[in-house]
Amino acid sequence: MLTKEMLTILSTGKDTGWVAEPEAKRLFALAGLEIPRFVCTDRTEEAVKFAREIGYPVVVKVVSPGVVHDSESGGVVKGISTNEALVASLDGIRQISGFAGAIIEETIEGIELIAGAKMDEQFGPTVLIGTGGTGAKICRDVTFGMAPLTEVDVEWMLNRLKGFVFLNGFRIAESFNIKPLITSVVRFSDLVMDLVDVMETIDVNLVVCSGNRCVIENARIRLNPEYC
Amino acid sequence: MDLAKLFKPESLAVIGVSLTNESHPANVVYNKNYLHHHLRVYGVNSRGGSIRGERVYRKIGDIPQAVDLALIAVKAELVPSVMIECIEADVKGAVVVSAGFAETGADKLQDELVVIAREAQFPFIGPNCLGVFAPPRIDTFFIPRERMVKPDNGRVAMVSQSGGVLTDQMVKCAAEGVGLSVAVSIGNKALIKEADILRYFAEDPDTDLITFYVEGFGRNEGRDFVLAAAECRKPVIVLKTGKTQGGVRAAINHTACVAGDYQVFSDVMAQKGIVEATDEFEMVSFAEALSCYPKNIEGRVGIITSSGGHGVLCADACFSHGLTVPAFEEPLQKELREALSPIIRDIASCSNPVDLTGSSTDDDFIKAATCLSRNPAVDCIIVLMLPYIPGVTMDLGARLGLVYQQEGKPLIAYVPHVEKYRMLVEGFNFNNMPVAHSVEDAVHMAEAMKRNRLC
Repeated sequence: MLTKEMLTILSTGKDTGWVAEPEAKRLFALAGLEIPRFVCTDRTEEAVKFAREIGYPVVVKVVSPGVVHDSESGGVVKGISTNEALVASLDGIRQISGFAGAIIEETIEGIELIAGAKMDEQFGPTVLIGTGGTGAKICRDVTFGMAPLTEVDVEWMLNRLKGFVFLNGFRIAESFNIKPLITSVVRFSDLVMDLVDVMETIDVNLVVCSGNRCVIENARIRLNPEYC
Repeated sequence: MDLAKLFKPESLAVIGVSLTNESHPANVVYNKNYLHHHLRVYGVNSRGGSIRGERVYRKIGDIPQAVDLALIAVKAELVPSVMIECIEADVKGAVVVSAGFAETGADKLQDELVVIAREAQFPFIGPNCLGVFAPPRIDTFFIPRERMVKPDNGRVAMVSQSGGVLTDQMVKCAAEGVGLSVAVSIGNKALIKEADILRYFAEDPDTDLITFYVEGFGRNEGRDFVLAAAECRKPVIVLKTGKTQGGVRAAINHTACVAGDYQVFSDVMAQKGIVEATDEFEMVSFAEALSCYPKNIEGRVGIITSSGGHGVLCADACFSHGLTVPAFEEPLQKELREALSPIIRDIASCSNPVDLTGSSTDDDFIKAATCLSRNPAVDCIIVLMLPYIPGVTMDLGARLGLVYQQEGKPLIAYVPHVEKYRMLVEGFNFNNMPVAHSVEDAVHMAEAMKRNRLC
């Protein structure tokens, strides 16, 4: 069920047709999915204070209505590990046209996956899982499932990924627990079912898993034009 | 909507029979049903007259008896009014053979038919189709009887968007000994879609397995199909075309179908345990395998062979298709060895593959198959039959079939498909064992059993 707060978030995207950062992640958090600790601000002092609180390294991302693919616009700086570097990154990001603020968030390290959803013409709401990172852009390794998904469905989908051997490798080497990942994908699929009349596509790039955590690092929702 | 009279009618009106052209499609249908099938047949033509000494009625309402099914083969623009006459005459359903609807851009005319039929709860198949082939009850295919290769009567229902592909699949079924309960060509599937037919055959006592040739699904139609399959306790096999750019374009021209995102299609089928065949040959092999053994296996294969090389070929193929060939523990090897005839006991290999060697006999195959059937190390057995070895007779097919019937573990045979070995092949076929025409094909059959998760 979409709560009033979720509906308010969705309606903020009606003008542009998109719900992007940071609203998309807030929506995910309300749906019971874990997101990185972050602050959204245009003030340098607040950014530095937050970074020192949570500890370096941090990531800085631009908030701009004009930027949807933020990694391609130079709007994302990763691996910032000092106050000076943070200040410099913020100065750089302010130059991006349409700058409306910056997100400073904790760095999560672990196994990288992508997820997504689309309203398929033949099958209605479908969810995608894939291996993430640079390699994934070269060899598309994704699998689809018709929503709503059960835990069995998700496990089945993960097994079909070519990259599943790496996931399994990590399970042994990094004591990564697959259970939170499965739970998160099931919750994501439930959210997709709630959004059937609202969304056209959802991109989650990336989902980062480590230990018992499964964190949504970035998400955006393209809204159904009829909803807008 | 009740589809029973579409597939099991007791009477048929052929609307559009020609009084002058004997080779008109409607006349082909009239003739074959009139001469060969177990139902009453009536000809309808607005000019009246007679064919084969029987009265041709001017309109369907003139037929004095009740009519279950109408075959409509008039010009596209006349179909709506003919359908209304059928509804008024209390006909129970129709097959619309006529072309010239959505596939040629006449979407409005097709929509008009759907509105008429839906309002009256009148089921119809087509348009732009061949309809229903279910001898000895009915055959609406406008292909002269002497041109058709008829598969045996059996328990597989084949449904296809393409009448041409379906007819060709029937040729292959006949060659492979796959028997059909019905073949349905649904053409543009304006009203009755795959999911509706699936729901019907899920309940049909004469059908054990359903196959579909699909070019594409309409809006949310795929979802409906998958949900219907999930409720069905029988194996469902799908062959999808329109996977590539070129195929997508061809599908639009053929049945006005938008083929959709192929990966989504393929993944969703796998998610729901529907078995996707990758080509026309696999479709028939899968139908053969799953009609003999409709349950799911994990895919631990035991291989029995009389040629070591074939055993290696088969083991490679198993691994490359996601199946395993577990090595046998010592106690099982010992049990196997003791069961074999003394002459091969010391030369046979009793691990997995079990190589009985060229000196083996029928009895050795029976002993090995029985032993593996009773051992939980494997859940499927592939028997590689090389009938040229001297100790093997043509009786082995039927005898191994009996092992399957007694033990219940799936057995798949490979036999070279040449006329000389036909009796051996039939021995397997008649005893409900699938027979592959290559080692690879036998492994595909086992893979189909693994992927079939609906039952």
